[in-house]
Amino acid sequence: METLLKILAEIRPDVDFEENKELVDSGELDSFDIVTLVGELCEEYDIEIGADDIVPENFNSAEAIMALVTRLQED
Amino acid sequence: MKKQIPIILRCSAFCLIFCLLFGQLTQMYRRNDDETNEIHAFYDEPKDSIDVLCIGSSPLLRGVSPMLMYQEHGFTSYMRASALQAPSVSYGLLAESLEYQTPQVVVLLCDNLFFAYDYVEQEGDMRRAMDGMRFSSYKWNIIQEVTAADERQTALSYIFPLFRYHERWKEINPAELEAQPLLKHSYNKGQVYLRAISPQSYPEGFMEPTGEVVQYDENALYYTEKSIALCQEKGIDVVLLHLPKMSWSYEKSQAMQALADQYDIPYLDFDTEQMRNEIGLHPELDYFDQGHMNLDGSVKVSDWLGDYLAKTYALPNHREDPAYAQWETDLQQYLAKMEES
Amino acid sequence: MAFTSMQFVMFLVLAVALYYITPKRYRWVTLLVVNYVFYYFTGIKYFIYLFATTISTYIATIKLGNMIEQNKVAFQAAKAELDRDAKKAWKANFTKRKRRVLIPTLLFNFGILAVLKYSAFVSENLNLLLEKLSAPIELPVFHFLLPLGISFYTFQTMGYLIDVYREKVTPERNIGRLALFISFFPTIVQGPIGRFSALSTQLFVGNDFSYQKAKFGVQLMLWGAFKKLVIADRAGVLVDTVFASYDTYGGTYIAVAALVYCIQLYGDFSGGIDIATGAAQLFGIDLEKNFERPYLATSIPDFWRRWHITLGAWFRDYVFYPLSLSKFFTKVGKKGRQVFGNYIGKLLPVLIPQFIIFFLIGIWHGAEWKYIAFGFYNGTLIVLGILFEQPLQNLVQKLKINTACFSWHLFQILRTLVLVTLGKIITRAPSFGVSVAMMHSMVVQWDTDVLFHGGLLQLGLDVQDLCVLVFACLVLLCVSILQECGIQVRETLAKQNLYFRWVIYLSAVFSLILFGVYGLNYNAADFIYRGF
Repeated sequence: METLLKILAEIRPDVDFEENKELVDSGELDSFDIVTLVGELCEEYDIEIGADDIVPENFNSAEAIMALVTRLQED
Repeated sequence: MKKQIPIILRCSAFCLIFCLLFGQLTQMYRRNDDETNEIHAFYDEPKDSIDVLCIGSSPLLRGVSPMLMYQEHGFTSYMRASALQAPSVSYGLLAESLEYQTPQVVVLLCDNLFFAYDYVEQEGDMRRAMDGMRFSSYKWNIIQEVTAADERQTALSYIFPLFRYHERWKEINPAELEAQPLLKHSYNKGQVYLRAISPQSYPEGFMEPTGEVVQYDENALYYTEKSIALCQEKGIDVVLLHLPKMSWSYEKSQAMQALADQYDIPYLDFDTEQMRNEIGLHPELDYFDQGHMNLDGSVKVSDWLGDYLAKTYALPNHREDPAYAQWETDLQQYLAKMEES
Repeated sequence: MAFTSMQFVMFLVLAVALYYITPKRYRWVTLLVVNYVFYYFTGIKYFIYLFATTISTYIATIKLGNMIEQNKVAFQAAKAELDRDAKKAWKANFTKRKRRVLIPTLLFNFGILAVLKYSAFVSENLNLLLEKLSAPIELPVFHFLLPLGISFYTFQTMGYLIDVYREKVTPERNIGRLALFISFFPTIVQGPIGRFSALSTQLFVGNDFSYQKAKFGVQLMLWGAFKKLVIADRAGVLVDTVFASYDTYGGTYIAVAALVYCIQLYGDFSGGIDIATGAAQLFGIDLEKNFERPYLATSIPDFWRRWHITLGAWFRDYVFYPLSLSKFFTKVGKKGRQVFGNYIGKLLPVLIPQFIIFFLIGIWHGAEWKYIAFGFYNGTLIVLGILFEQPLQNLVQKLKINTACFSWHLFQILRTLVLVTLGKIITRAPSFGVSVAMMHSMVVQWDTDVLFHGGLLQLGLDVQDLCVLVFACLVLLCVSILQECGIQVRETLAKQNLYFRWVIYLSAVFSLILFGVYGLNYNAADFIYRGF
């Protein structure tokens, strides 16, 4: 989680990722941020995130992103 | 269900207010021409009270006075005439009128037989006649014909004229905006006379054979024949009429006569020399313009026509009939108006 | 059947009545029949394309659905014995098999669209090229008439196909229901492009009549008609006048016309969408939002998030993400970091697909060079925006500009509006060359004075029309600002007194009737008595 929050903060220093639970739905994260984020995640955790994983529910909060990463790591 | 009643009531109330406002605005923005009013006032005549019905274009509108014929002979007549009346409108007006009245004689002015009517060009004349007409299957048929000929026009705008005149907010000063309902009762009985005199002279060789080839317009002939057939079917006598007009010709007159003969109906041509002499028509005094009588001319024409109709068709005299008291009142008003100048 | 025609109103009333007198279970059937009747009005010959899309998608999705189910069972059974790599291999293999169904279907459907929409453009330009090369070949040019809404229903249907492929939705096994989803008549003309997950239940469950929803639907339709008839069609007169003789009007006029064209386009498009959304609400169906006050956007990306939202979302989900997350662009990103450094390298997998998207959005609008130019214009703006974000922020900080105030926000809005307006000139001008010439004259022939000396009256609208246009735009602006502030206009209105509400409703209806631009022009001279 720590690492994730660090990655997130690097991409968007202006967003409070610990509090905001509607990152995508509120428009805080746009498609550019998501693509950049996905690139970092794939590298950091050695996973593959496909276009079909990119739904708002997976990126709305830091917890959701973590859950996605964990799920993909287990697969 | 109980819940829905207030909703239905509320919606109905809303629609009612809408309709009232819509009607009011229609009366504000519609163009009310004399002929629109006269065509509309026809509906106010008591059922089956008209003996002679005249249908046709503007020469009729200007040239024949039902009131003067009534004064002289006591029979009642009404004219449903409008400027440049389309053949389809003439037929529609006739067929519609026969739902309200059972005249003994129908007089058809068919100058437009030789004229190819253009619904695109003549939209103003169409509206002038149609805006005064109530909605009926007859009106609908005319609308169908117009919209087929001119796809820019919509049926809806003929049924609800506000859709046609909605842009007139630009033209009318809001301070002068007032509702103008169509005329309810007319003492002119469809006539709209003009007083101005414009001296005319007959063209050279007027009404002499020139060998001109004349041809009926197909559409006009179709509706004229349909009109004649409709009257004959109902046992109503038909008279074909032509009123003075400088552009008339011997050949056209002959063609009209031929049509009349075909249906075995009389044809009255006020442009033949014999007729002109008989009524004492004066080109310097009796014309409003080349194609229309003025008030003086119309007095002469009505005098002769009234005589002819009364004699030929044994029309009843209602002058003493208490049921026609309204006609007496209307006559007084008409005469008084005519005296004004 | 145009949305603002009386035929459409009557059709809609009839359709709604039929829908609610049908027993609940069969309401979707009624809706399907209504859709096809609506589509029939545009010409029976176009049904073949609609059927081709419906049937091919049905077959493909059913096939995919079966494969996915079988795979699940097989995977469950074999799971225990597989290690991580084997699982990965299994998945990759299955994806490959799914693609064998997906890709031909995509090609077939987009192929129809491409042939109908772009073949003439492609062969015309190839012919030009061949002529330049003096090759003795000439390709035939076929001009097809486009079936109503083909771009919209193709995108919507292919979105559904990809969703099935991605296992986001289970395929619809009833072809009638699928046909209903594809042909839903309010949306087939100009969108919004719907998602199966959002629309399916609403379409297939027989909705109960809700007075509240229907009332809001009618209100929205009125508002849409207002934007279309009172604003857009009136603005269109001015725009047509200036763009038709762009070489005689000076730069100031062109700027005015371009701005008015923005208003026209928004009024027309969002008005149409409002009518569609309102019409759908009469059937108890909520459509997705397609516009969110685009001209109040603070940047070009923000504008594209507010303008034609469903199209942007479609491209984002089905083109942008797959592209930028593809192996190829991941590699490009890695390579780019080595060559251009970390900052730009990271951006490459975003920027290049973004450019491709705008190229596609460009040609989506039409098969002409100017639309391609329009796409590149927007793509370039966005790329420049990203590249210069950091330096500009530094500059703003150095100049000590306060960015947290209204004036800065307003500046951002106006800046975006100017950029958007320039883009609209490209699409509205007859060709790209002309639009460049027009922009040029905006720079060299600027003379604000002409506008204050009766110049505005030479643009095809008289004083009264201009007043109505300005007033109507102010109404639109006020409503937009209210919405931007989070006020829901219809809900707020519903809380007011009955009298006040009715006054508002009636003035809305009658302003449409009186001030809408419809029917023939009224020219008093045509009605003056001309004698026989």
